[in-house]
Amino acid sequence: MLCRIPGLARLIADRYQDIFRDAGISYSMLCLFIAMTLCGIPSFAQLILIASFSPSRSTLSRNAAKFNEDTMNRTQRRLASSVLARVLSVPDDWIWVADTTSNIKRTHCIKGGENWANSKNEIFYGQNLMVLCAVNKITGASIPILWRPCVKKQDQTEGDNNHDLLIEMIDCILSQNWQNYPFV
Amino acid sequence: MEALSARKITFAIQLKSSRKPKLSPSPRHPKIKLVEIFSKMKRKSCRVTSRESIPIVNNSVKGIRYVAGAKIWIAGSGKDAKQIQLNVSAVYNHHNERNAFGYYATNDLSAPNIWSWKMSRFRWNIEVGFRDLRQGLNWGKFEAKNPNSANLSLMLPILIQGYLKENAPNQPLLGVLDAVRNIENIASMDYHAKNPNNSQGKVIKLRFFEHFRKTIGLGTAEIAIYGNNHVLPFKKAA
Repeated sequence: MLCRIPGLARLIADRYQDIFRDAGISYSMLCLFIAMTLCGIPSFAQLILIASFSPSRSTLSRNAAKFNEDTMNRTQRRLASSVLARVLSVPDDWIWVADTTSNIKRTHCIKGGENWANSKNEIFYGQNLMVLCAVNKITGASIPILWRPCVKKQDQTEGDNNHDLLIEMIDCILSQNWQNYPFV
Repeated sequence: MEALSARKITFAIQLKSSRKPKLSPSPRHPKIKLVEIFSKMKRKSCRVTSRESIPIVNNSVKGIRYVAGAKIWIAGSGKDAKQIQLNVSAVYNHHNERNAFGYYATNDLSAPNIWSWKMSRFRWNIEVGFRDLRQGLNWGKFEAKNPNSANLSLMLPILIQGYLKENAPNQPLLGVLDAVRNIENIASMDYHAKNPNNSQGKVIKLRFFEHFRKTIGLGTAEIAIYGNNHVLPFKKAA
């Protein structure tokens, strides 16, 4: 299976394979997920049609569900550390930018989870995502480092608004050698 | 603003025009509208180059803006919030305009007036990044059935974009992705390549790999083809 996946997907998977292995997602499965995204395939059903070597749809779904919150946090930290290593080499060229963007439209089948639902287990449809990016001033490249789903305004409580969410994300980066670069 | 200042982070933000700051921290000093503070100030002209994030589109202005700066005090949010001194600059399209098109503030008091505005222009890059994620990597189109899968579908495009922007920062993301996706078309090209009377398919395949190598520039060891066992090795990029 691996020999039929684009080499670029394997290069990306090499970085994160240890994190995903701890969650129970195998290297070949991770390569397939990345290749699927890389080639712009929107669903597992279409992936099976295009790539005849892929496992069944249920196997793919079962493996995707293994991606828990701990894995997500570790992956975000790994991404942040790799970007920070590059930023620290040329510090004057980089700034930090935070912005919100509209969330995905998901199917009705999704069940309420920690990040995706409020205390009543109602799913946040159409809430925003807060994304923290590193932007290169010379090339204009923006690399997203952290993202968190925002809480809808009617469900917001004290200490749960977008402002506090951004501060939490900044504190997360501060713990990884953030220096005093401009924040926009 | 308070939280960022407490963490000693330099920031540049855009203020709402409805803000009512003070020129002095004393409680007796009245609050004044931003428009009134900057309307009578002298303005300096400045030119913006296309390298600073966004090329100038408005031909009538030709990249010249007029800037006035002042140091003002703004109260933070909450009952016990302290007042913060900010370096605010108002940016105008014309030298005799009353209303500015934007008020930009920074907590770096020694920064020049134009600095906070120039920094705020880089916010456009994050919008471009979101557009690339949505158009190029189907960000948000994955039909997830549980929260974990939804998190994975959001994470994977970000990982790919991060890797490509780190290793090939000068290349447009969509161009790189187009090169990768052409792999699917090679299966149909093979049909032509196998036909001895038609050598066109083989030539196209070789051209594609050369283009892919140049675009990515990563020196990938090999690239495989969908639906075909044949693997073409190619040398590392010089």
